[in-house]
Amino acid sequence: MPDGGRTGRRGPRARRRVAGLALAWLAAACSVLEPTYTADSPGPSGRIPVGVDVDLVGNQGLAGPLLRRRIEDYMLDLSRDPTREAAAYDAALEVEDFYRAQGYPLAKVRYDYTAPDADADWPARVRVRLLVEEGPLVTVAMALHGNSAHGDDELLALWSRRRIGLLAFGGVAFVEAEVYAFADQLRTFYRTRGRLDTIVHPPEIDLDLERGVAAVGIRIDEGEVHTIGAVDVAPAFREALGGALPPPPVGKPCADSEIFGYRDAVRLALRHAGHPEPRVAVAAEAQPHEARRWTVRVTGDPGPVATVGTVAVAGNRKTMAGVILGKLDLAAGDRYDGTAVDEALRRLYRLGLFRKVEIAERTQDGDPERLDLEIQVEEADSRAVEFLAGYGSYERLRAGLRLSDSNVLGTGRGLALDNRISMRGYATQLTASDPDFFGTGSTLTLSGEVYRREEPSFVDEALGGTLALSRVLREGLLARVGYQYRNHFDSNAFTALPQDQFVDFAEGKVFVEVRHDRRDNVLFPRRGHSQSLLFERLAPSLGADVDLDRLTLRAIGHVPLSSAVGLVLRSEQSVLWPHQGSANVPLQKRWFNGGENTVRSYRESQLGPKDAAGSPIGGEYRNIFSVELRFALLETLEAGLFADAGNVGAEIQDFSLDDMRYGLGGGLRLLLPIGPVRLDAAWNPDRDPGDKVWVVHFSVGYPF
Amino acid sequence: MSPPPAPAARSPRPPRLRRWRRWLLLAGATVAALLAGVWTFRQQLVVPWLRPRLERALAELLAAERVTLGEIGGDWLGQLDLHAVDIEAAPPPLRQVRGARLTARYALWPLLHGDPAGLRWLQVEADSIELDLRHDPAATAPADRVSSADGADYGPWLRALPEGASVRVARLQLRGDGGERTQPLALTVAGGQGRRQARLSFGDLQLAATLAAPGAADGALPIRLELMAPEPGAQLALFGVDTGVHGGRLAADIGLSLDPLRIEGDLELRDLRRGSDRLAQSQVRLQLDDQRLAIDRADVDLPGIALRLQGLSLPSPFGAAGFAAAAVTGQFEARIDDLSAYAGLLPETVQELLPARGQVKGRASDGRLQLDRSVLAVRGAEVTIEGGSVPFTGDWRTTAGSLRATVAFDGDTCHLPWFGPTALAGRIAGEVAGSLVEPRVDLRLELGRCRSARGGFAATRGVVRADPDAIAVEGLVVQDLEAAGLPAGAAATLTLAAAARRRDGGLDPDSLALSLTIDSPAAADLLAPAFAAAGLGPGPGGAASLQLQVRHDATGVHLDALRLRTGPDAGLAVELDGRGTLPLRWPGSGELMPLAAGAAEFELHAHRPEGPATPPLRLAATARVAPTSFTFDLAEGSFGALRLRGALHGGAGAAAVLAGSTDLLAVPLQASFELEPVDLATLPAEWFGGTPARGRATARARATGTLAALAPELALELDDAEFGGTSGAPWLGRAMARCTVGTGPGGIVAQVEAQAMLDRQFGHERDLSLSARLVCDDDGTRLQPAWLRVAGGELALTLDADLRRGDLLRGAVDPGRIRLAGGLRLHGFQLERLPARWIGAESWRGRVTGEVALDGRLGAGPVAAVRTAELSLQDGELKLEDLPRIERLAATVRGDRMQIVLEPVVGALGAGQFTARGTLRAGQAPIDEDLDAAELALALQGEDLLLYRSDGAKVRAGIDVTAAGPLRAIAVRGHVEAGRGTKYVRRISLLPSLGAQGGAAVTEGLQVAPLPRAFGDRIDLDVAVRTREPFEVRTHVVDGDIDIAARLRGSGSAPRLEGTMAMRGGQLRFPGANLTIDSGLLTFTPGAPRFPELSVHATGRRMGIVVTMSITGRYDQPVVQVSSVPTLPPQDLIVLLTTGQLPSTLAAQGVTGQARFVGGYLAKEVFERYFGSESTERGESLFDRLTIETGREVSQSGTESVLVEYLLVPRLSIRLERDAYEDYNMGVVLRFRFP
Repeated sequence: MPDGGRTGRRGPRARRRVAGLALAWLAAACSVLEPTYTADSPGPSGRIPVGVDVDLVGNQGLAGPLLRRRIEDYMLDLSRDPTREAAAYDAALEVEDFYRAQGYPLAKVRYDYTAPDADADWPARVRVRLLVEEGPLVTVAMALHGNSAHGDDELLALWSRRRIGLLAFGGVAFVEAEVYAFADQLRTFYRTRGRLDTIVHPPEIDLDLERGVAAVGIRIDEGEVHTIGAVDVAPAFREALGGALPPPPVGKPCADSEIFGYRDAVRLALRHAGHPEPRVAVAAEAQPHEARRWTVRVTGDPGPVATVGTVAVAGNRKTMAGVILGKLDLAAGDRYDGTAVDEALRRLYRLGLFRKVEIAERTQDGDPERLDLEIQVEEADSRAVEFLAGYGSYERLRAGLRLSDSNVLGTGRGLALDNRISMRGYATQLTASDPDFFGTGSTLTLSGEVYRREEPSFVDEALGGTLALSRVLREGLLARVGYQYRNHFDSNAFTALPQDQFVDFAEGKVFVEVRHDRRDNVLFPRRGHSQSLLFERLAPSLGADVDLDRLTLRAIGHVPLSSAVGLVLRSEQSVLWPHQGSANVPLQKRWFNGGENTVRSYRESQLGPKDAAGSPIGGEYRNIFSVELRFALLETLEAGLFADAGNVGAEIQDFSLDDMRYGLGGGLRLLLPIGPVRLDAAWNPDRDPGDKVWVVHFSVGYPF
Repeated sequence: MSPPPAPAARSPRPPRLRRWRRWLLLAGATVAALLAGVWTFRQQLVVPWLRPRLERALAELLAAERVTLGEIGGDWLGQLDLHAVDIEAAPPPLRQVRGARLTARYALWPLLHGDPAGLRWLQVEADSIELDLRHDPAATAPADRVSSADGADYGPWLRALPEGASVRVARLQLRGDGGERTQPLALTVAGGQGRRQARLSFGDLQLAATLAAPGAADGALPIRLELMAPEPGAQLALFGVDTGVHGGRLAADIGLSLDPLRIEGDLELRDLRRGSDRLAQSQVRLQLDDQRLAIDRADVDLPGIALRLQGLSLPSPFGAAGFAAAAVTGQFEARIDDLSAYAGLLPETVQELLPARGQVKGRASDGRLQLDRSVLAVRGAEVTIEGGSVPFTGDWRTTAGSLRATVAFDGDTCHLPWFGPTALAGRIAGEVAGSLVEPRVDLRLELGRCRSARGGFAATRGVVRADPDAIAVEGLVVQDLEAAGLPAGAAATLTLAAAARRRDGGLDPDSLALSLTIDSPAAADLLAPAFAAAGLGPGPGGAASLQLQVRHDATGVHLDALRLRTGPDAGLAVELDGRGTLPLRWPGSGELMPLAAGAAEFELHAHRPEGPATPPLRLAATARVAPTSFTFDLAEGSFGALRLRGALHGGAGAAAVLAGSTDLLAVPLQASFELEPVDLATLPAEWFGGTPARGRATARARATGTLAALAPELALELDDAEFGGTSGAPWLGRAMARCTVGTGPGGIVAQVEAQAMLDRQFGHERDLSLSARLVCDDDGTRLQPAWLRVAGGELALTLDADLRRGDLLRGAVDPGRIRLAGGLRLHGFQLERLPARWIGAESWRGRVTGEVALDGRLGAGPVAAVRTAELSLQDGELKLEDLPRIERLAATVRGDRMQIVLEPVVGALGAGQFTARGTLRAGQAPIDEDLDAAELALALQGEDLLLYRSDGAKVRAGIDVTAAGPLRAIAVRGHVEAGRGTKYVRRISLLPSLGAQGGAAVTEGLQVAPLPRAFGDRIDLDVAVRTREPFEVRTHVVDGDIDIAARLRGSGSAPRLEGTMAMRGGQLRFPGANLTIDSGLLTFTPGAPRFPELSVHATGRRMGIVVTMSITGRYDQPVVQVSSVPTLPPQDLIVLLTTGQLPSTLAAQGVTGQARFVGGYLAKEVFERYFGSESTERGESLFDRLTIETGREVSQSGTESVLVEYLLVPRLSIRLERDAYEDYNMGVVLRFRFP
């Protein structure tokens, strides 16, 4: 299709541009504000495009902006050629289709449009009326029959559904196409689990318009699981691998994933055993007289065992060859190891320095048993200058400059200089990092910083540095240890407490952090849980002016109640033990509570002890408990009901769950690709003098 | 000087003699030389001359079509060799010889003197010889098989056999009546001094014969013959006798004298076995001369039969007097065990009686066969012959004989005439005497159960006597008689006594005296056909009894008793009592004759209880049949809720009718019946086509006149009737009707006033009324101005038919000959008032104006009656099931029975305009008579037509097609060009199955919407389908523009696409990477048009890895192959496509790293919700723009910072951040990168 035919002031391409520059709700808002469509370029006749006004009549269930966005292309077509009534017709169909996709199976949309005479002068504006008869909104009651091996919950997860109604409890919209797509998904699901005889019958749909319910039944004849009864590995492979032959998947479902997975396992094992180019083929055939047992035959040729001839690096203009060679655990004369080659590839990519990495394997003088390895890299840009301008939930207006080089002097190490300034302070940080510290897979970070930040109770200004080493212990488990030194040198407190003298202090500490994260999504978590433990030891021997320990335990759980409703629980305990008495705890190290991410019925840090002026002074322990119910309202709009509870205690020996403060409220979250934008309102049921009844937070991201 | 005289004493030998001798010697030497030369060069000099002559001579001798000789070798003086002798098409028995070689050694001199003993040695070898021993009925026995004229000296004959001879045939093909055998043959003859021994080997058959020199006493030739047959059964089978015997040895010592003919000897058969049983030895001693064949004693033990003959004397078949039965004397006794082996030799009727066993003995003398007491058990019966005498010869019509016999049946199946295979039990005893053609029969029947396919009985007893003058049946009782075609259980007991004289070969009816009583417990079943014919259903059914006592004499047929009673379990209880004398007489000619007097009265009572589908029936009537009249008084008649009373009197009776003199159409009739008012709800719904009804109906009917001129008066009223509605369902409609049919001077006048209201379920929800007056007189039938009103619209009807009153009353109504003329006029008739489902549409509307003129025959149907029609439609709208709604339809149709012209039809399909015009012209016959032959010529053009629309898919196209040809084979040609607005935007799921390598999908393939078979089979499609502009395909996975270059072919009921769909550019979009489609092709092949082949090749690059994806195979079983440079495992590549990162890379980045990419995938879903799935970018993927980084900083409470960036334009990103203070920040970032 010629691109020119699709250009328009708000045509698809333009719209995408707009979509890239603004959020989608802005586009929708624009549609409301400007319901006239005018194309940018003339149509086939060469005449000037006309303005097209669209009147939507009868739409109640779906908002006008949504509908207008659906018909933009057609209206721009009509703008170029107002005699083409088919465009108005198609627009009506489009709206009708959209209704049906939203659960209105009987929706009818007519149009009212009088096309001008092609031979006469076109009017400057034309008007299209779209008359909507929505019909009932139909929900679907899905029932699966005949499934026993896989429960409804497991299967229904394959169904692309859209919930409707308040709090998404209105049921699932009936969209016939989705129902049939679900049946297709079920077929694939069973097939990939080895149930090759499964028959998923076409959905039986019983539409009850009076009740607005479509009862859908899908009958499944599950059949039996076809299993792999035997694996016949070619003798050449057995001889080549011996005990390193991967355990055959006997007894496992006869699914392609198992069959080809085993092929790959054999191939990897052969490469690990020194065969650079093994030919491995698999085929499954039914065993005679065994209807559901299959024999997998692994055939092929392992090829010769090779040794490494030479190892070379190519394509590196900046990165030192040693940095690259250090990632490959093979040297000349070694027996070839494909696993090492693959691992080297991964480690090189993990450096983040290269756009492309290839490890070429060439036979030496045609001798297949001697391979020359050449690591070919294509370096990415390693240095960058960033200018930042934005808005922060606490810092308000903020700006920054960042200079970074991820490949300093070709060593593969990174160096970055961050400079930020905001309405709450400034910060400058110089960070050096090694993403593969001594080839251990650990990340070493060394940073130095100077900053100033205004907190509700004090101003913190410090100069210091941090040395941290982090490593993934196993999947989902991260450990981090390090040492940090900061000299808080010019801080001010807004309180009149004795702690003032400790606003300026030297902070030398070691810290250990263990984090276990099993959430399914970092931006939009729906299920899973995470736990973390952070212990800090501040002692004079470490360069600190104080002697205290700090511990934070945090646990978060996500419990999906349905596809659209989820329950989130949080528990967080933070304590500190002042070894020199409570009076010797700097204000910066004390615990505060309240705010958009803690107890939301309080403003930032406003929960807990205050001085006479009403400024929070923090405490030696704090507790936070939250429960939040999140549910989808519209497509990208989510609502939450929450209850927060927390306290702050002045002294650790008084640690208890007494004197809890609460926050009850709700909020709306607009889900954006970069995370949710959040508006929460919390009511404080147990107020002290000076506390607000309602506190409203506008923020981004989930509170936990 | 004179010469001196020669001395006389020393004269030489006469020179002439010496010269003669010399000449003789010379001639002899010459001849010898010549002979020697000829002999030496006989192959060159003699054979060419001799061979054809010899061939002809042999061909004539053997009567063969052709005889060919190869080499003629040997020295000819004592040895002759014939090679490559072929004999073609010789008459039986020698049919053919191939590759024969004959070598004879002989003494030439004796042969030249006619002594056959000169033949010393003979050897015959042949590749194949074909002998045909099949019996030829046309062939006659040789007149003189053995000459008895000349005195025979067997010595030369015996000497003629060479002392050494052998015949060897590699492949002797022997054909007999029972089959064919092909085996090698070897025959050797040896011996000397008047004795020859011959040995023959033919397969397993071994034969040895010894011929000795004639004895001194009688000059007979002694022959000793020994036959060894390991499988004689097989040998016999060759001649059609399957005895099942094997083994055996036949020895014969025969003395043969030919002048006069005399054969005397002993035959002995030994060592014959059948199964494991050794058969007794058979011995026969016989003497045969030209006068008699005398068998002194013969003990023949054959399979299944043992025959003993004693003193048997028969005329010799070689005697001059021929065979004379009267000369046969002797005794015989036969013990029969099983004749099955000889079935092939027995007549078919006898074969059916097999197996047979028993013993028969008797003697022959004086031309008669005197049978002693014999017993013969055949299949199903045992025949005991007490004694009798049967003539051998003579005219059986006059020859007297007698046979006293008893036949006892044992219940086995016998094949009887008419009955066929019958199981018989009991006995028949009696005597048959006199002429065997018209015998005197005195039989006593005592039969038990008899059963055959045609019927049977439980027992029969009685006496049957017959002689040439009369036939009498006395006391014949047949119990439980059943006959084929009657229902089971309808058995009757029949008692019959009858006697009649015989006259002219038949029976004299006047002499017939008959008494018949039928008592049947299920006799009602016999009435079932009559009930069915009367429309009373299946009849009484169940058990019933019928008693009939009838006599016949000159005064008529006397019904002494006629009673029919159905049993309590009968569906219809019937009681019929009748008595009287029917004025009928049977003269014996096969027809009943009417008499002038006599009458019979019957009382009929019938009652049937209500059944699941039948209302109760009750009848009480009296019928009287007199010679000239009949009366039927219906005292009570009820059929469910219908109650009817009345009477029918006719002026013709049984006598008049049977006399044949009465014209039934002229029989005066008077009838008067009245139906009491009935509630329609009480009537079965089946009467109204399964539709329940309610309301009230009354009817009266009177008729006088004759059948030819009946003057009926019928009044039918239907009050406020409603139809339809069961168990709460809506009623179909409501109707009121008045119909009065009367006769008068003006003819038959029917006045119909009907109103109906049909509701939505019937496809219409408006009222329908008809007001008409139908007049039928001697000029014809006319529908006087009638109006059919439909929902306020009005259709004027006129009708004129040549159906005359007389024809109607006579019943001579032939719909095919009744002419109809009339018309139907419409003016602005609202089409939507008629149910759209009449044409299979969902809905229709429009205004129809026009007129239809009718002129045709009633029986030809309404279409055939159309003479001309011109209808126009305005503001039409039509919605067919699978097509978008057709709007703004305007059309004019003109036509008659020969041509229908479609004036330009214009309409809009999805706001695109189309035009159609065309004609339908009749072939040889009018359109309605031969619709298939009518020629269609239709052209359809349209622009921007919406041809298809479903959820997510839409086809808009310009169309220019023609349909031409006879309606039985319409060729649709043209092209369809898809244009703007065509798109396919749908959510399909390919991602989850990416890891699979294809597999069977449950799908019926891509099916182009077919037309109904009744119409679609007639359409031959060949329409080009192409895209004017590529249509958009946007799915979650595929995004591109597609060009079509295909043809729609096949029939309308099974259309198929052939051609390709090529993707122009486009991308395969995955969350982690976009792949640019290098080539994408969907090919519809003629072999599997519903399962097009995919061929998609796409490449993309992510993290420096070039990913190539190839999708091939059937679209429903795609084989997805993913490869990369550098080579990575497929699983890694799938992860790369779906997340944008290698799995190992993800693992290295920890759980947060994994989550961030999965989260990104979900973020993509969020994107689509904002921008719509069809608006997804075609450029770089979301992941090329989205960056998520965690862990850059750590907060005081240990929370990692999170930084999310989305690239808006190069260098400019939007950023969301949770920082080290756990605060959230948002902003834009301008970034410049450097190497």
